[in-house]
Amino acid sequence: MFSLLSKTAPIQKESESNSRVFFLDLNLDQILDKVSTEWGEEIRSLYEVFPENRETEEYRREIYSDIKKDEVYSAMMGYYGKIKERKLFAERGEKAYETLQTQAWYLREACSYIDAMETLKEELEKAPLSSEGMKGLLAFIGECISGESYNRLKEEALALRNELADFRVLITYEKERITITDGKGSGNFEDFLEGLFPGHDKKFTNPFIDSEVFSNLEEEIIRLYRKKHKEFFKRLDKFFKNNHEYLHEGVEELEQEMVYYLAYAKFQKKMEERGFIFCTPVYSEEKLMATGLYDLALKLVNAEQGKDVISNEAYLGSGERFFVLTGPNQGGKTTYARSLGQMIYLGKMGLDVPAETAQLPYYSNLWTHFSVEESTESGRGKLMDELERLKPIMEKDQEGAFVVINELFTTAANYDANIMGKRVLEHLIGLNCRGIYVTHLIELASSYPEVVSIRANVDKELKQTYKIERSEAGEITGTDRQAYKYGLTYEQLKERFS
Amino acid sequence: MNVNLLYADKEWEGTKAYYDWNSITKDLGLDKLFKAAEKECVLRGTKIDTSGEADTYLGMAVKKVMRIPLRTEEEVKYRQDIIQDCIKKKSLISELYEFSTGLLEEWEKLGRKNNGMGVRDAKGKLITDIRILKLLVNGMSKVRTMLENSKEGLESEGFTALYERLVENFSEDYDNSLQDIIKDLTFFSDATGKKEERGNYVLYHPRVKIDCGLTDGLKISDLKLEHIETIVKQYTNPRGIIAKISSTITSLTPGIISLYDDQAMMGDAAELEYQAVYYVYSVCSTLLSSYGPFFDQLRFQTAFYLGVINIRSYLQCYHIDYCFPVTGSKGSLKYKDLKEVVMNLEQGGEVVGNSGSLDGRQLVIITGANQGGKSTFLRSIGIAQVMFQCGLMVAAKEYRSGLYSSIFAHFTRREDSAMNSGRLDEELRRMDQIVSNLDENSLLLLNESFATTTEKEGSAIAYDIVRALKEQGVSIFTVTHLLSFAQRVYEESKDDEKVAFLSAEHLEDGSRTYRMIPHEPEITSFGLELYDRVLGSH
Repeated sequence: MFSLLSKTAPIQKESESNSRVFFLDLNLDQILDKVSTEWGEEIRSLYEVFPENRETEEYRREIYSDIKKDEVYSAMMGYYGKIKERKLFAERGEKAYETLQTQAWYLREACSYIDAMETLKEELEKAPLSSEGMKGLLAFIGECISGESYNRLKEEALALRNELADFRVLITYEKERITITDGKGSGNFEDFLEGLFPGHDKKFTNPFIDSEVFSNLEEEIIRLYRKKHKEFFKRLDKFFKNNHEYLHEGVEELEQEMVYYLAYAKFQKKMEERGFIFCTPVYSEEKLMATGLYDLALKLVNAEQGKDVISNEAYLGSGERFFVLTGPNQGGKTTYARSLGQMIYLGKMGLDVPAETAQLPYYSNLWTHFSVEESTESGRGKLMDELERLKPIMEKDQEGAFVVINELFTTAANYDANIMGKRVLEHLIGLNCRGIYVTHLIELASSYPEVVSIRANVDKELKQTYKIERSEAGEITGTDRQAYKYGLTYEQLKERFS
Repeated sequence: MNVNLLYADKEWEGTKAYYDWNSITKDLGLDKLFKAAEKECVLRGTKIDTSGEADTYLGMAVKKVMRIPLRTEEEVKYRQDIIQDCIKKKSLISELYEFSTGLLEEWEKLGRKNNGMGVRDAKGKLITDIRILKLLVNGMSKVRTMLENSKEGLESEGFTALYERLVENFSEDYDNSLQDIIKDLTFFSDATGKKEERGNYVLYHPRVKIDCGLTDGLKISDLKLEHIETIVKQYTNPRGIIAKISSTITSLTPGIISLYDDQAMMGDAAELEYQAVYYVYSVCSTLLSSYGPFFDQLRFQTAFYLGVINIRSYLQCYHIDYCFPVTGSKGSLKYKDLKEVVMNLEQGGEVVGNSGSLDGRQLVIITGANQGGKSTFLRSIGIAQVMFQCGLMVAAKEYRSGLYSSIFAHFTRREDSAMNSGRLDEELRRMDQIVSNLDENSLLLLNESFATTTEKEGSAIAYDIVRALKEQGVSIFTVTHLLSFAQRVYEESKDDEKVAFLSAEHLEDGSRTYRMIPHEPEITSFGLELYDRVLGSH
């Protein structure tokens, strides 16, 4: 079966999702809430499983790059709109009290399907597709809408629908009576309004549209209509009985997979309009490199309060394995670790990442270990808990994973913590893992040659800058004159104006 | 539809204000001016009568408009011309103001603020909305007529263009069409019958024709309004037998449904009726977004001009000469009998004026005796400049000046001259903000700045700032007691034509004239002279 999510095997839903604490640690759940809202709960599980290998990551990344293109995106969104429409019609047909109505809804539903499939094919054919996946999708749709039974369905449906569309009635309402006549209006009044208010976009709201049952008035109209058009209703009845399963096999599954991309693309486009920056990561053999990297979850929260976030860089060269991040409290360390983790996750999912540029190697898996809130447990209890949670990360099969560790062994004595921390690092380096280790233990920063020391910086007044850099924090210079403090010495003023 | 009486090409937006308008208002004492805008001052014989009722909206309008400086000669001229027209046609400006105020009040009563929400049902709200539409359409008619009636003699571009815009965008034909539509909706907006003379009732009945199709689920769809009209019917008794019979007869014809006694069908009919009316209303409601703001703007903008006319009435009552300034190039200041208008209003027009020319001077340093009129002079320049840059007349026989991109006031007020570092901090912080916001076309008024620290340190700070800002091109007027600062600048700029030094004039007997004359920085504040004069050489 053709799939947009996996090149080789059908995707296993919820296989390991329960063991994935990183969704919470990295605040990915907040991001995914924003992404999947309005798309339905079931879509969430597709974001919880990593592609099985590097090829599938690439397969998805290429599909996603195609889907972001304006022509493809609008074609897919249009298609998705029609799916929703079709489902709504189906629902109405089921609920209808009168057989006549069920049949009419069914006709509408089938027309909607035909329209959705044909439009998508037509638009995708015109669009510049370069991914294997999207080309596969196009071929699959082509298969769905060919063959004799499809052609018969289409011919009869369109004929019935056109006939229905031609029919018009005039309703005249006066104080004590309503008159219904067959026929079409002159349009004079609408022309008069258009003349006075050129280009107005107001529509006459149909008061009966939201109700599935007939209004009294509609009942009267249908009574009139049935008398006049007996032939039409016979054909509608036949159409309903002949074409019960019009949906091609596999279409509904594919629709879900499309949403996986569409939901994120819509989210990304919306955020880009608000100034968020995303980029498509480029595959790299060994080096990890990112510029303009930021914590997407934090930025989503801050944007609502009109605040911005700091963006940072990350560079892990060949031979380098682990960042050890130290620095003052509240200096943006956790945020930095999260932004790295988010990038790895989204990159692995084949989606764009919150950064200006990104080069990512393939990582077999993603793990996080965040120290939990201070609990009432004894120090030993907490340490036990930490070690328990570390265990799966240290397993042999985790070779080549990316690991985000945020403060380990805080309840242990410094001496012990140092030794344990070094062991963890040594072990993970041995497993060929990459990652980041946020810690207050400065010694860890120089523990192994594979370790890269990075620090959260402070400015001249010892204020946090939230900038994370390889370089040490700068010297703080004092001010002795008050004017200097406000940038009002002659030299400073000249500088300000230059 | 735009009013455009404040700017030739745009409505009032309230953006690009002076950086620190509150300081300017406070330091220049402008509130007195805004108070004057609130009512007319009338001279009855020799008595000044200000007993009229104050309209605070007028003062507020003048204050808000003055907050945004004009920056080109054309903009200034545009307002000056309109003010001239207002002086000639005072009744027009007050009529426009009164009318738009009344209309907005009426609108308010109809529930503008809460948008009619939550008060009534949908039908009630729609009825109100139609009434609002009627109010605004009639209002536009009225404004056009008012301008029509007094267009003879209006010379300003502002009024002429407004009239032309009204004629073009709200022509009589257009007006009539809108009135027709509103009339067609009468059956809805004014459903209850009226009892006429001699027991005759007038009832408004609808006739609504709708063209529709059948689609999805065989429901009616694609509704088009074919006709809508109010039929006026006269009965001697609306519930009488004739009304009943006429409806019963029609129900016997095929295709005709009588609504008499059919509650359910009547409900459907009412829904259709509502939607038809709502549709017509909503098409017209685009007018609200144009006419609504029009009246808001009209009220605000005419309030400004009426306020200005009131200010003028005070100048006349107190015999303070005024003129409409001439726009010159940057730094071309020249003034004749320039008065500090606020102080004059407070003291009944007794404060002396200054005459002089500071043409080509970028830095003016004012020193001299306490109580000599230095600050008054600085304020008179500031007030005149702010009024000028708002298009107003200024209290001088002649006034010529350039237009500044912005004006900054950095005054050390008496109450905060206590010497402590917190005060200096505050002063420096304000200066830092000013520096961040000014450009080379700004005017900076410094009054006793940096007097909150030692003379030595204050001088050093002032020297640095003034030097850097002057090099940047900023125009600076400074009243200062920092003599080392003033003298240092004096020594260094003897050949610099851009720098002027003024001092409060004092006569040989030591008495003051409150006039500013060119003079090198005073070393003392004449306390010694006074000491000598009184105590001799003891």
